[in-house]
Amino acid sequence: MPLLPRHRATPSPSGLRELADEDLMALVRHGEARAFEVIYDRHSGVAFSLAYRMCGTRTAAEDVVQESFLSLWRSGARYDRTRGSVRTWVLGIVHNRAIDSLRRSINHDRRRASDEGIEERFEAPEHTEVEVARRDDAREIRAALDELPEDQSRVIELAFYGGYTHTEIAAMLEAPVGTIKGRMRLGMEKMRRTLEGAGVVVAS
Amino acid sequence: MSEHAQLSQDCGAYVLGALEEHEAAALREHMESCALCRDEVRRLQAVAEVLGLGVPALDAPPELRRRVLEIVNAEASLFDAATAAPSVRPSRRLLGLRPFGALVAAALALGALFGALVLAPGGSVTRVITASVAPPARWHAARVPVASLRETGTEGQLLVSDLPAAPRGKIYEVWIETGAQVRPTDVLFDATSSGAARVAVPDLRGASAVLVTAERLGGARVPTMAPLIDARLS
Repeated sequence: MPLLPRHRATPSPSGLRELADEDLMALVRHGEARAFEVIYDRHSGVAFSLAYRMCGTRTAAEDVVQESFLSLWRSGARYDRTRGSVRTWVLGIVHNRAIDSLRRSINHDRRRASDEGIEERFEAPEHTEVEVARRDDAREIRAALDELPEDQSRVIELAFYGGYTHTEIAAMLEAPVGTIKGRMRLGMEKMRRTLEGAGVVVAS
Repeated sequence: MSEHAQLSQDCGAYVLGALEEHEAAALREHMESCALCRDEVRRLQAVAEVLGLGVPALDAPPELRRRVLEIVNAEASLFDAATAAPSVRPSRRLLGLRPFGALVAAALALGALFGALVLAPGGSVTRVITASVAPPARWHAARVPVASLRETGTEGQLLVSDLPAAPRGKIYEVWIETGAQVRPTDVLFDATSSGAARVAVPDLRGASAVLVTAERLGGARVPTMAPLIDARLS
């Protein structure tokens, strides 16, 4: 947190919920726990969903989400709005932490087993506009991935959600490393075109 | 095969974080002079950034929310107590309050720059450790920074003054050394215009040192250089 006087004119709790993420982060930087709570409520769902998809167990996913949000709280000063949305930033932290967790895990290859029927217990209800938009984006992204030839989607999933390097994937699939890297590049490029067309990613 | 033809093959794996570190370093170096690869990485990066959303939507468990908010509220209360305690005696204010100057003054006053103990307002003990910094030749600046680590329980705070801005296209990254292993943190930072930096270092459990290097903008997974700042905990 920066060496600045504490922000005193904090909006009311309902006022806080009206603020954009970027404005809330300015309050979080000054130690405002209520602003953090709003950020948590907005993004803990996507954070937990990603962590669970990557770690495969509820306990590990909870640890990753807890570490990620506490890191956001304690060093919110690192958020730079010019480099992307708060949601993207949170997902980036969760992704890095989940990869660390996977690489630390001795049972790296066993984590795929889903535990406790968690998808049913914690499936998010579509009750808010934000949630609906999140589901729409998720569907588009999932569809873009599913549209890829299987050999491309598989290497992207293993790298991104599994945290494997291309050499590990090459060994796993018994394919040359150049082939794996080529599939990743082709698949990501196809997804870019699809997602730009759907408006999920801004065309550049 | 030309360097470009060879390295451009790596763009997809790079944004997915799937390259080995030496390959990622080679591509980063190539991108400094290759606009085509820079553009491709930027475009593909936008896809990598949303891949995290393409998973089945779940709600975070309510008990996790309670746990996280409990910790945050407790820390916010401590922070309030530290910043809004008008009745605290001057000497205590000097020791416990946030400004970096006060912290260094406190350490100096105790006559021990290495491993000074500071009593924080809540009564918990904070150890102030003066960090070693790299020699002037590695800083691209006239002055060498001064750095210290403030350790309270398992939490750390790194305080740096006279810190030059990170080199172009780079950012400072904090690492935690545990014995022979060095692990990355999420902490990336740069100097403010006044050359100061104050960053929280998460989870010092088992840490033997806190290190800082200059890395590419998104941070690295393994350090690509010898530490610029090295605060030894043990």
